[in-house]
Amino acid sequence: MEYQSNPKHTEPWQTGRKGSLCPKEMKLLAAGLLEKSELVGKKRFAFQDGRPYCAQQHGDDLWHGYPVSWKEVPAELRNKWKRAKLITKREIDRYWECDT
Amino acid sequence: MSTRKVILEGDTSRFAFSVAFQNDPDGGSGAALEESLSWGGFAIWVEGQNLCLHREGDTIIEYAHWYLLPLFEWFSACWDYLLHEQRLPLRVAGDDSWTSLRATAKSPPALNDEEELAWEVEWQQWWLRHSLLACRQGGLFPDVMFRRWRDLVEVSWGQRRLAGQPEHFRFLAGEGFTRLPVPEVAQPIYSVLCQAESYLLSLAPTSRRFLRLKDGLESLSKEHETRRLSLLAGIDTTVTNQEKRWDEMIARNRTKPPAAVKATFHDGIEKSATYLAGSCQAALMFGSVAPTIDEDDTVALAGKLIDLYSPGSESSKLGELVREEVINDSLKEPWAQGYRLAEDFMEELSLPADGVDWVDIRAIYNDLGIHIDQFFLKDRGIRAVSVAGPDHRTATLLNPDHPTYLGESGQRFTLAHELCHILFDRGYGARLAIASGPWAPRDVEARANAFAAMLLMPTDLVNRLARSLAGSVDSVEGIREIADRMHTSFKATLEHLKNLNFLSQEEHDFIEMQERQGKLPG
Repeated sequence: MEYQSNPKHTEPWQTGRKGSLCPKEMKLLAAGLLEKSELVGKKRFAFQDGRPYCAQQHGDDLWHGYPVSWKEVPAELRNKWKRAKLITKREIDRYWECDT
Repeated sequence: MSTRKVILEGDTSRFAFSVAFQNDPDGGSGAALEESLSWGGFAIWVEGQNLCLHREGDTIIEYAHWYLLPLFEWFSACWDYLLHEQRLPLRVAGDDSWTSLRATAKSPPALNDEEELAWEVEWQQWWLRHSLLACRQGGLFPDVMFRRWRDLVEVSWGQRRLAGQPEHFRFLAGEGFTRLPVPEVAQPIYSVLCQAESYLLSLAPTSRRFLRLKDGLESLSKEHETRRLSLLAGIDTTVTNQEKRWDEMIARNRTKPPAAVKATFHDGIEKSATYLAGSCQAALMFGSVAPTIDEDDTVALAGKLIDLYSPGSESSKLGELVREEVINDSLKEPWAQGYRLAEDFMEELSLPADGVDWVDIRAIYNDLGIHIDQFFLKDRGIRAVSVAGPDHRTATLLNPDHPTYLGESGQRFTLAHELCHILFDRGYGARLAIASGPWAPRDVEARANAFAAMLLMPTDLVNRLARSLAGSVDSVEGIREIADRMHTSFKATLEHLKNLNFLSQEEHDFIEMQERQGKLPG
């Protein structure tokens, strides 16, 4: 499993060419986050500082990632992390819709 | 960026869907080949408003740009739900799906761990089937939901920032909803999907993913009728159980007169290869009850619909008063509309009669030939059921187990409420079957409540009675006297007088408190 970023999630912004942007500081953490992510269906999910991220495969063992909201994370996985006290209800509420 | 191909279907003043394919600006970096080939933009127009219109800094852009393949795959996979599933998850908490889903997103604190998970899973499964955001896969999409709403398709939208959405990026549509005939939504989307799939396959004819999309779209035009009908009725919470229970219900009624069975379970449905427009009486009825409806209630309701089979029995007087008044967009105010409809109705029937202090709703029912009966349901949330249409006797069936049944004033309010459904909530083919309760559409119920309040307590009558009081209207005694003379309940009268500005909110609250204290023992 190898991390390879998708430029569409990377700054700088270019009109009509970008999607959800990854925070700059995540660039260094992305590969590690992928390593500890959990697979649900065809996507992988992880979190950092209470914020969730999703990774998608785009080639042989190649993955890229982007920020998501908690409502986009499978409910069972979100609930499992919450019960394990890895994330808090407050963090889920805070990043339920967006990541700021 | 140069556009390779544009597809636009529909009427932008009603509903339209468009996609524009472009070259992937990053040359396929960080993307699967098929996704890269599908790079472009999409736009959805609803009643002249482009829901994808957005601002990126100082630039206004019409299309939302992203890999389009996941969007096509989502439409194909969720097709039957988008066009046939009406019932919201958990409870009806808003007029439209976007508002209701927002209100039910978080589980209530009182739930235990197991219940909390069940709540969250049910909510998310529904969201995944109906929200465009479910297929965004990192793209910045507008927050749009599709669902069936009685005979129509409801498109609702709102404004929520997405994870990773920069400050300078903002969709311009606010919040709202619109409800459109099924073909007006289904046909443009399906046509765009087929043309897009064909175009993508021309770029990569052996792509397994494109071929799967083609198969998926083709399969939508094959036999889906039972599945779609059972989604419309929504008896139970899972699709498998819904189909099973729908089939069981049809099977149980096989021995009934075939014409009555046909009129109840089949007539009214307009079949097309890719969707069902219209609806039969049974699907309309079950679409407004709780998904957890008890087996006995299901059988009883279906049986009652069959028993009410009576073609061409609607009185001509009632027929002349019936008109379709669909709440088809978020600009309509159900409460104000209910008042207006009641006033129109009273004018047409010259009500209330001079010198009479109350409106005799039972006499109105009798005059219009509407049958009133009792109908016991285990679901105590349903106050009444109403049925009307070309093949069914027009009837209101009161549930004696509902609290409003206990007094005549409660029954009178329910009858007036149901009359609104009978007059103005007919669907395709002038059919109506509705159970008034917490699972019926919220705006339809709000409008019927307003209609009932104004019909039983018309402004002129309230004015006359208020002026004739020995004491003041802003007192427990004043409200009680008006309520007694109008044969309405204290509570409904108090609320209505506040809504008509005979009372301020403070006066209303004070009277309510005094009335409550008066009822306390000692």
